[in-house]
Amino acid sequence: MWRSNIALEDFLLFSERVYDRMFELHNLAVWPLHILTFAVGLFLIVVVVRPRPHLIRIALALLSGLWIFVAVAFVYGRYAQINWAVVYLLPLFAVVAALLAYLSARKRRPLMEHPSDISRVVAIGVLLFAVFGFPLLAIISGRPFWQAEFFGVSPDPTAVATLAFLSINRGPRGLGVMLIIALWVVATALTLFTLGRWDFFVVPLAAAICIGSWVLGSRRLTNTTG
Amino acid sequence: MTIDRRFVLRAGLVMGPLSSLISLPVRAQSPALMTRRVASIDQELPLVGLGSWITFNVGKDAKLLDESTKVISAFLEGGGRMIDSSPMYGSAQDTIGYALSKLGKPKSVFAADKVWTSSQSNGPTQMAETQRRWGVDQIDLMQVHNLVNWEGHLRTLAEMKADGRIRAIGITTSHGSRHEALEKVMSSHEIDFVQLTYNVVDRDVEQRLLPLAQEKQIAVIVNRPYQRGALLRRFEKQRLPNWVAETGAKSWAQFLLKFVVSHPAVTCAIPATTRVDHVRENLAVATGTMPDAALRRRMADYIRQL
Repeated sequence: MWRSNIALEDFLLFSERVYDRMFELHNLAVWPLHILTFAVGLFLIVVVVRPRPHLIRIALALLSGLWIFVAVAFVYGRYAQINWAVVYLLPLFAVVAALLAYLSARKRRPLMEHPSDISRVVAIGVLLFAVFGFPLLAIISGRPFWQAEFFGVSPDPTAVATLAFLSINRGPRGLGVMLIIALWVVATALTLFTLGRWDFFVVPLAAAICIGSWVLGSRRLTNTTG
Repeated sequence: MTIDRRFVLRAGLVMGPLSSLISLPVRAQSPALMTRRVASIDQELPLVGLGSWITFNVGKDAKLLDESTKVISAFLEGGGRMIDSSPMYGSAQDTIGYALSKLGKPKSVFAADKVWTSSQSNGPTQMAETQRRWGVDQIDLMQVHNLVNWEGHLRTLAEMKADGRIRAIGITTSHGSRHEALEKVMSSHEIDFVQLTYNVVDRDVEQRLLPLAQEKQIAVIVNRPYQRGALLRRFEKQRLPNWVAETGAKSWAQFLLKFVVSHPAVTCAIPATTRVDHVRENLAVATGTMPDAALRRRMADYIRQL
């Protein structure tokens, strides 16, 4: 007979203190890269406002590069020091980066040129949150500024911004990438929930909004064209 | 890393390599810790050890590495000896190795670690890596972590012990799981230690495993004596019994830990902490009054009615 009192928190390998300081050390190590990633975030917003094929391709390529950077510098270089299990999620980052690069490079015109107004508003709103709002979560929670998570530097805001950008893409491949990113979203939400964080629902909520927006946008497109 | 009882009784007085970190007044005030004998290796060990699950998994964070060093320093300064870790615990082994190196590789440490791989053939490589990360000449006790491939690993460990590469072998479980399998191993194999979960709430092991350990003269290491802090959070707002002084405890932490280490079958409990004051509070449990069987029943009854 198997008896056990194992709880979800027993799968956590690290404490909240160590988790928070990991972001602080990482931010200090890569600063002032944040200025560049803020610029990329602003560029993504501009592209959603004025989606032109060549700009969309550049944005997708930049996102691909950021996923590789976050995977190597943060997930492998830092997070894996305290969480050996996260190494098993590295292929997810590689697949997302590869698919974003593919979407950027393929000859067919990107399916982002004519997003609906609602899709566009949702994408811009979520992008604004990912780039500018996400770091505020740390401050609202009473953590030091340097323990904040930044787009292009940490995985969660990068994932949220990518989901927002892809939510105006009407192609099924875009949805495929979004669903792969959702796997990371689940992992990070479970981690934050287990750490007892009040904001554990933020990233899944943002992901749900983006995926929901994609679904609604696709239906609208189907109805319009069908 | 051999040591005799005389050293244990002088714990807190002699820590040559640690001398720069130990203040004289503290040394003079540190009473010797109560010990229990591990019969199979003729070794006395203090009743309170130091776990490393989560607390020492700090990565390469220099500030937290130094804070962990202070915890380990206070532990050794107070007479503690057994430090327990596992390859599963992230960077905990590296943190311990860092601290021991900073503290001048103190000889008093009783190094306890685990083999944790489903492959028997990978075991020796993993254990060699463990020893490298600790930076010690020898891991004193090597245990099979959570019974993972225990039959294969126990064969390897028995060979290593026979060759003198380790001093003792054991097997572990936690969270009250797989007690039947643990009982089978204890009954059928020559092991020196068993590690299991025991606290004032999780008391299943009192029925069969602890008596069996006594009968077979297997030393018992207790993990999760505070249920990873859950018991402290649960009881900290409750009033300690007005007879708490009879137990020798001065706080809830000490009350809970006294209950664990006062069981005659228990050799050592290994609470983990990130705080120096908590280390000292834990070590103090191995001094002074120790509850007898009647008082232990009273302690358990008190907890039950809260």
